[in-house]
Amino acid sequence: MTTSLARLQALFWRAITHPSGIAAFLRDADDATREAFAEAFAGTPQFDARARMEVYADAYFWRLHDVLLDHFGLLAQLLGRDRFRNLATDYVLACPSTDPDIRRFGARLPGFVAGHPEAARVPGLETLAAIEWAMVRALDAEHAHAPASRARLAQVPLPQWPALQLRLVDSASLVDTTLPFLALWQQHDRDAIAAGPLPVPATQPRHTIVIWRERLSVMHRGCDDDDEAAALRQLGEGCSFEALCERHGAQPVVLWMQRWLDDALVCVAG
Amino acid sequence: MATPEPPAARQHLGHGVGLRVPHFEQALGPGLDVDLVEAISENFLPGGGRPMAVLQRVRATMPVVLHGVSLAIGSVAPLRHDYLDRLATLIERIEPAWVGDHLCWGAHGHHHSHDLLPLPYTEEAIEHVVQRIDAVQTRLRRALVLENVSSYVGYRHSTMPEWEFLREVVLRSGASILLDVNNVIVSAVNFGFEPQRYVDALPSDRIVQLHLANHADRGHFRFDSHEGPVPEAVWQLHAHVVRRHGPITTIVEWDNGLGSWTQLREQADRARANEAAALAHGSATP
Repeated sequence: MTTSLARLQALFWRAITHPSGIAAFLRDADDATREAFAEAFAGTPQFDARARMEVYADAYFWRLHDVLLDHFGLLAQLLGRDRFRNLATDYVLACPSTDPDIRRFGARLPGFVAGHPEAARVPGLETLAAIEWAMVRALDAEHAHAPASRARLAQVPLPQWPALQLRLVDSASLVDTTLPFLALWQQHDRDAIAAGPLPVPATQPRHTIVIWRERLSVMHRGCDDDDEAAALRQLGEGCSFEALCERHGAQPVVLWMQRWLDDALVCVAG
Repeated sequence: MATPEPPAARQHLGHGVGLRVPHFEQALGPGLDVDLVEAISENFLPGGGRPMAVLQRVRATMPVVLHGVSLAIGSVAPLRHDYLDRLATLIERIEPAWVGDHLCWGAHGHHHSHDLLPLPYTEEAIEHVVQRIDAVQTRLRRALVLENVSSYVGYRHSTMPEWEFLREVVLRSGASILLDVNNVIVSAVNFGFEPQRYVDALPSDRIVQLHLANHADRGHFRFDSHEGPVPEAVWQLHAHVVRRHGPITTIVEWDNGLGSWTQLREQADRARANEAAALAHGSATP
C-alpha cells in the first residue's frame, strides 16, 4: 500500500541528507536516481525542483547545527565558528538524530569528539563536551526524589543514620577532565564564536567537575579532591551513610554532607 | 480500523501565544497575560526542571494546548511508541485542551529530520496517514489536531490540491484542523494558488485552532521564518478565515528574533481585535 510513498520518502531523505547538498547529490547519483528525482519533484522555471529541495537540505543541516551550537556553546567558542561547523557536519553525517526530541541530538557528541581529529588538537576536548552535555541534561532531568535538606535530616533519629540510604539527585553528573574548565567557563561568551578559536588551553592534572540542578538553575563546581569525587560517585550508585563513612572516614563525610546539603546535591532514597 | 474518535470540541479558548524559553522568566514572575498558551510537546517530554516548572505554573492559571513537531504522522517509518508513551505521560500531567502535530512526514527509518516534510497529495498517502492517526488517537485516547505545513516542493504524483488532501484526512480520521494562516500564504506563493480558495474548501466544524506568524520573502519564494510580527497579508487572510468559519482559538507564533513579552502579547491582542472586526464586518458563512 505504501510502496510509492516509501520510495518517495527514501529518495527525498537521500537527497536532503547528502553531505554537499542537492546539486552534489544529483551529480553523484546514477542515471536511475536522477530520473526518479525528475519524475518525483515538481518545480517552476523561476524556482526549479532542485532549488526547492535545497531549501530542505539546508534546513536539515542548519537545524541540527544550531541545536549543537546552543548546547555546546563553550566548545564552539573554543574551536571557533568554522572548525565547530566542520565538527557539527561530521557529527550530523556520522550520528543522525534518532530521538524525536531534537534536544537529545547532542547526546552522542562527547563520545564522537573523543575519536575526532579535533580531540588530538585540543587534548581533553571530549570532556568539555561531556560537561556541557551534563548541563543540558541537568536542566530538565526529573528528580525522582527531592534534594534532602538539613532540616529533614535533622529529624532522622540518630540510630537510623547508619542505614540511611543516600543518592545523588537525578540531575547530577560527574566528569573527569584535564582542561581548565572553570577558567574557560569564565570566558564563555555565546556571541564570541565568530571571533575565531580560543588558544589551546594548557592541560591540568585530572580533576572532577560535578554538574547538577538546584531548584531551577544548573550548577557546577570542581570537587575538592579525588576523595570527594569518589564519595560522590559512591552516592551516584546509592549507598548507606554507614558505607560512606566506612570508606572515607566519618569526619570528612560529615563535612562533605554539610556542603552537599547546602548545594542540594543529595537526596534520601525511598 | 477502530471507529474514529470524535473531533476535539470547538471551544473558543481565546487568543494566545506560543510559549518559548525567553518567556519563562515572565511566566515564573508576573505571569503571562494572555488567554492561553501553546507549548511545544517535545520541549517538556523530559518531565522535570525549569521547563516543567514553567508549564505547570502556566497551566495553573490558563488553558494550555500541546503542539508537537516530531510525530511524523505521514512517515512510512514505524510510529515511535516510546515517544507516544512519553507524550501520553505529559498529557496526563498537563491536561491540555487538545493535542496536535503536523500533517507531514519527518522521520526515515530510525532517523529524524526535525523538519516538517511535505507529503504527496495522493489516495495512497491519505490511507496511510488515516491509519496512523487512528493508531495515535487510540493510544492517546483523544482526537488529534493536525496543522497544515509550509511547503517548498511539490510532487508530480499528487492527484489533488493540498486543501482537498487535508479535508479528506480529517473527515476520514476524526482528527481536527489547526489552520496555520501563515503557512497557507507561504504555500500559496510557492505554488501559485489563491489562499482564499484553500481556506474556503475546509470544513468549518473541524477547524479548532489557528496559527498566525510571519514569513520571509526570499525573492523567488516565501519561507516560514516565524521571525517578527504578523504581517498585513496574514492579518487579512485571518479576517477572511474568521468571516468564513467563525471565531476560532488563535495562537501567535514568534520564534526567531523574539521581541519583548509586551510586543508578543500585543500580537495576541491584535488577533482578538482582528477577529472582532472581521465578525462585525461580515457574518460567518460556514
